[in-house]
Amino acid sequence: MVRKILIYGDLDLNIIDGSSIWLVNLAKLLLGDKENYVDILLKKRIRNHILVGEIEKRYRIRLLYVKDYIDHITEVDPGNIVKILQTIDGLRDYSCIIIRGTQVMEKVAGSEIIGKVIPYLTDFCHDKNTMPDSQKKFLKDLYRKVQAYFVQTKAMKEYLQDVLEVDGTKFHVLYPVVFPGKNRKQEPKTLVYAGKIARNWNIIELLDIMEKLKKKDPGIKLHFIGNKVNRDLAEQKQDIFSRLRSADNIIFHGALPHSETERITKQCSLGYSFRSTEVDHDNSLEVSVKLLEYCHSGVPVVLRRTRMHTAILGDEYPLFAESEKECMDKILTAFCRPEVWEQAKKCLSRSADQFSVENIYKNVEQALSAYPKKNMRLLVSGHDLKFLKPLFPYFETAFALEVQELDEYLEFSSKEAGEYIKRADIIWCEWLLTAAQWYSNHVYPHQSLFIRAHRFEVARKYGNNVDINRVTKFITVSYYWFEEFTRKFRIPAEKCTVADNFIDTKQYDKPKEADSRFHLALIGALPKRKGLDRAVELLKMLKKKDSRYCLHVPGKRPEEFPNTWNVPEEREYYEQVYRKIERDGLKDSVTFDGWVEMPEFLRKIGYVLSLSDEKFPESFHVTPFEGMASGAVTAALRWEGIEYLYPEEVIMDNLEEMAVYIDRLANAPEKYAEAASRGRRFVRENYDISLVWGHIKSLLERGGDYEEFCNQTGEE
Amino acid sequence: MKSFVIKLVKNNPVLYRGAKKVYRTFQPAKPTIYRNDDYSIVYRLSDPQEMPEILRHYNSFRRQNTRLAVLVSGNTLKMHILIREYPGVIFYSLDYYQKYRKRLYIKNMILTDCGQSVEDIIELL
Repeated sequence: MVRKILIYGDLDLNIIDGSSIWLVNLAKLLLGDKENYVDILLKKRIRNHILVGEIEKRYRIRLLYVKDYIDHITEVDPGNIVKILQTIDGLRDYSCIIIRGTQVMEKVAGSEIIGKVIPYLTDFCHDKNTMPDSQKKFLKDLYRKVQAYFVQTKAMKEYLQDVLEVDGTKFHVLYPVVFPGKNRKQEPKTLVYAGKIARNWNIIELLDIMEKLKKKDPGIKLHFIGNKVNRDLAEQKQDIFSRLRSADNIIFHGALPHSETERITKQCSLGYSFRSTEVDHDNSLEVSVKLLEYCHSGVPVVLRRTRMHTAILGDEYPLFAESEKECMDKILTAFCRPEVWEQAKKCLSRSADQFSVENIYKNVEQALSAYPKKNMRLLVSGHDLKFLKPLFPYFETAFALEVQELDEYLEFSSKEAGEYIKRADIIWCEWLLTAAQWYSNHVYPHQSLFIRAHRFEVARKYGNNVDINRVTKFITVSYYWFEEFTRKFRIPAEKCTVADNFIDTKQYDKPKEADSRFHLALIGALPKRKGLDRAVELLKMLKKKDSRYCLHVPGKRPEEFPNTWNVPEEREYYEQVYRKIERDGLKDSVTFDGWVEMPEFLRKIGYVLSLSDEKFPESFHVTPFEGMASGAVTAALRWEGIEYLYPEEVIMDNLEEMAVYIDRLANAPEKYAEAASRGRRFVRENYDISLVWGHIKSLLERGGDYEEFCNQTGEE
Repeated sequence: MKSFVIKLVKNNPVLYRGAKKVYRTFQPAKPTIYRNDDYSIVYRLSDPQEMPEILRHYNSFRRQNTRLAVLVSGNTLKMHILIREYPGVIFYSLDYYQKYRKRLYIKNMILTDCGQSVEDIIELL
C-alpha cells in the first residue's frame, strides 16, 4: 500500500522564487518516504527546466500538465481547478491532495474533493484585529471540512487557533523544507546576499554598508547573487546595478541556478538578511526560507531581532541588529572576533536540527496518516501471457492486478483499452505489439508504462510506432535482445533494461526415473528454427553408441498447428524430418508426446536440448532451464546471444561435439550427477522466480531510478 | 476578432474538439522527438567486484545531467546480474560489439576511470 499524493501550488514553476522552491522541496521531502508517490499538477507547461530539472527524472515524482488530461485547457486557474482535480483524481485515486493558494482553495472548498485536501495557506491577514469576517468564516469553514491542515510555523498555528477559535488538532506545522547538501570550506571575510533587489530587503543600505566597510576593512568582500528588481526600486535600478558592478569589494554574480547559489553561499562566512521592519516584525507569522538556508549551510547571518528570529536562533544569538549602523558593526564583529562568529554558528546548528528534513517530515507524516493508503493498480495487457502468468500471484501481493488478455495481438480493442487505462497506475504491455503501441500513445503522465519485448517483435513494425517519451522502460529478457531492440527501434539505452524470464525451480524438484540419462527432449519443436532435424541427427549419432537413447518431442505436432503447417516452407521441412525418421529407422525412438505436465514429464528426461538456428536465435529459451531445474543436463548449440544466458559448459559448437558430451556423461553417472547439480544450482542462483520477481517488483516500484538505488543502498 | 474566436473556441470543449480535428486534418501533429542531452560518464569494468569503487567515484561528482555507463569486458554471463543489481546504470558488453561486429554509440560520453581527479571531470560538465 502506498500514498498517492497530488500537490498543486497556484504558482508557475518556470519562475524561480520562494514559493516555487517551496513546492519542489516539498515534493522532494515527500519522496524521502518510499511509500509516497508524488504528482505535481502544473499551473503552466514547463519551459524553464532549471528548477524542476532535478525532480522531473525521478520515477516517483510526476509533473502533470493539464492539457494531457483535458485537451482544451492549457493553464490551471481558480475557474477550472475543481474540474481538473476531479478529472485527475478520478483517474489516479489519490490518498490526499495538498493545495497552496487561497484563490484556488476557495473554489475547492465548495467541491466534493475537499475531503482529500490538505490546505497550505499563508496569504491571509496576519493581524487578528483587521482580519475580515469573510476570511475568518472561510478559514473556519475550511478547518471544519478538512482532515489535516498545514501551517507554516508554530506561531501561525497558534494565531489561527486563536482567531478561528478551533482546537487546532488538525493543524500540522510544515516549515519550509531546506536540504542541507554538502559542506564547503568557508572563506574568511566574505559576506553573501542572495535574493531579490527590493526596498524592504534593505539593498541600498547594504550597498552603503559596503562603501563604508571598504574604508574600514578593504579585505571584506560581498558576493551578491540575484538580479530581479522589485517594482519599488525600479527607478533606482540603473544606479543599483552600476554600484554593484563598479564596487571593488562586491562580486556581482547576477542570477544563478539554485545549486550554484547554494555553493557560493556555503563558501562565504557571513550572510546578510537585515530587512526592514515592514517585513521583519514581531507579528510576523512566517519564517524566511533564506534564514533556514543559512542555518543548514552553517553560515551565520546578520538579521533583525524579531520574535520569530529569536524563537529560531535563541535570545543569545549575537548577530541581531536593529539599525544600519548596528548591522555594519555586527558584520565587523563577526569578521574580527572569531568567538562571536563561533557562537553564532552554534546557534545556527542548534536550529538547523529543529528544521531538519527528518523533523519536518515527522509532522508531515502525522498529517498524511489521516488519509488512507492506496493500492498501486497494475494493468497487464497482451496476448499469450505464458511467460508472465506464473508471476500473477506475486503481482497480487504488491499490486491490485487487472489483466487485459487478448486472444490474438491483432484483436486489440482500443475501446476496451480506453476503459482499462482509466483504472491503472502502472501498465505492463507484454510483447512489443498492438497493446504497446496503443498504450504508449495514450498513457497519462501519472502512469508508468513498461513494455516487455521478447524476440519476434523485432521483425514487426509496432516498435516504430511507440512513443518512446511516454514509456518508462522497455524490458527485454536477455542482453543480446536488449542490443537488438535498442538498435532496431532506436530505443535509447537509458530507456531499456533486462529482466530475465524466470523458472519456478521448486516445481521441478522431483526425483529422476532410473534410465532418464538416455532420454533426450526437444521441448517445443515449432517452428523449424527450433532444429528438430538437428535433434533427429543427434539421436542418430547417439544410437550408434548406445541403442537405449531416445528422443521426446512434447508439444503440438506441426500438423496440429495451422500457422506452421500452412506455410509451405515449414511444411516441407517437417515432412522431410518425418521421412528422415522413417529412413534412419528411428521411428520407435522418437516420441511425439503431445501436451505434457512439464515437471512430471521432466522426471524421465536426462537431457534437454537447445538446437535453435544460430542466426534466428532464442530470446531466452526457457525449457532447457526447466530441464536444468529438474536435474537434467542441458546441451545447447551456440546460437547468437546464448553466451549471455547459458554457462559455457553446456554450449557446443556442433552436433558431433554434443553427441560426445552426452555419451560421456551418460556413461559416467557420477560426472552426470555433478553436471546436473551444477546446472540446477545455476538456475536457482540466476533465474529462480523469487529472484526475478524481486527485480521486477523493484522495477515497477522504483522504475530503475538511479537516485532511488543510491538512497536504498546508502550511497551518497 | 481573431483572439476573441480563439478564446471562444478554447472555452468550449465541443467547439475545441471540432476545431482541432479540422486543424489537424491540414496540419498533423509532429511526433515529439525523444531528447536527452545528459552526459554519459563511462567506466571500463573487467571484474564485477570493481562496481562499488566505480559507484563511489561516480557518486562523488554526479549531477542532474549525468548518468553512469559501464563498458564490460568478458563476464557475458554476469551481464544480467549486473543489470539486476545496479538499477539505473547502463551496462554495455564490449564482447557483443566485437563478436557481432556492431558499432557502439554513446552520446555525450566522458570516458573516465576511478583514478581520475573529480575536478577534471567537473570541468567538463
